[in-house]
Amino acid sequence: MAKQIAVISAHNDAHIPFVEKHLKAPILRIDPQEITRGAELSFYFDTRRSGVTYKGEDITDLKGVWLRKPQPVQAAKLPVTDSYRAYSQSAIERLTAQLLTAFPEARWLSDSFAQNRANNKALQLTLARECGFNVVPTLFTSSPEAAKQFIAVHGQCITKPLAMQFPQVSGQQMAFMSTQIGSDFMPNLTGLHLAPAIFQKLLAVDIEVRVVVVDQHVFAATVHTGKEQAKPQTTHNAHVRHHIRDGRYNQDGATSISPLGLPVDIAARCIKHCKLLRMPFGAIDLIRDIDGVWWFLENNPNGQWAFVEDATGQPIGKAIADYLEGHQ
Amino acid sequence: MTNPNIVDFQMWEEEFQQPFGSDMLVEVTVESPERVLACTDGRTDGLIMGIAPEDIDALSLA
Repeated sequence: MAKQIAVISAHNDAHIPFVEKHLKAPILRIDPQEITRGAELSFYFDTRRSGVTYKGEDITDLKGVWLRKPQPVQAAKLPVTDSYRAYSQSAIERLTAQLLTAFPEARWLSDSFAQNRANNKALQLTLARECGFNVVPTLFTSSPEAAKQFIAVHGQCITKPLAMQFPQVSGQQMAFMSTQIGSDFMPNLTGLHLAPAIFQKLLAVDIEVRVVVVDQHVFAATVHTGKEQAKPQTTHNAHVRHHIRDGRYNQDGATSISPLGLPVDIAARCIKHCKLLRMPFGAIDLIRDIDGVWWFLENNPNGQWAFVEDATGQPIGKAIADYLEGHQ
Repeated sequence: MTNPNIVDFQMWEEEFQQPFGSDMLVEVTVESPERVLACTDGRTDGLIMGIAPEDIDALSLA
């Protein structure tokens, strides 16, 4: 029997069809949440062998594993009493975590531990410099004084959160978005020791580019977000929204995505960056400024890409399918 | 000798400080993880606030 390709993700992940249609056989969907509904996941070990069984099927020998976006087990939704929620959740999570090392002979896109490492922003910026990218002057700090000095040197800056969770105020979910600061608007820096953040020199942007790397293949597209103001999206700190520089906020939904031919040296640097991060996949954000200079922003180890293929027709899904099947 | 039954309100208030970013918080729409996965629009990715990215990311298995 031919070896299968598996995807570890929510069963209704909209990215799956973009890849599955290029595979020779139906993709095996492994959705950890289905365990809570009675689906079997088993790992067997003895002196001679080990094996993995999912829903009664032996899946020990997979050809490729696509680690997409599996949904976490939500303790609140488990059909157990409150006193058992954390216990049940922990057990299920620990079982599904064994998947991450269960298929050592398969082609992974991407290895989970490499993704963990690649998510380190300091590492990304250091490797970007090694690759020959221009790196925007950036400061990660807990010090108000360090932040003040940085802003004094660079003038207009962007500040971004390091935090990955944000508070709720009166039941409303809040967030700290990438915000322009400088002469027009200066936040209170004194609480940085309680919420360290990122400060970055503001670039004069010509185009924003999303580059998807799949092994040796590079797919680049410009992403332009309409700047027209929608109805006010916030009453809290309303003065801040005019300084927000995250394209996903305060836009009327008009986003145009167009394929872009990258300079050969820039494309080569993108491939090298992913290789240094030990990943066959990366979703890299670049900026070309008004002087034509290219700048590295970040590499998302598991970034969304279907929206790029959807808009441009670039065969990203095919490239992923080919990689998983070992055609690359 | 200090009376432990007397609460020093000034000390209590001083224990609470405003972390950086509190004066830049804005309201956002929380997209459900299902919505994010069903939507191929990259702009919804990351608009999951209040749900830590690792909750919707493959890293949640680690």
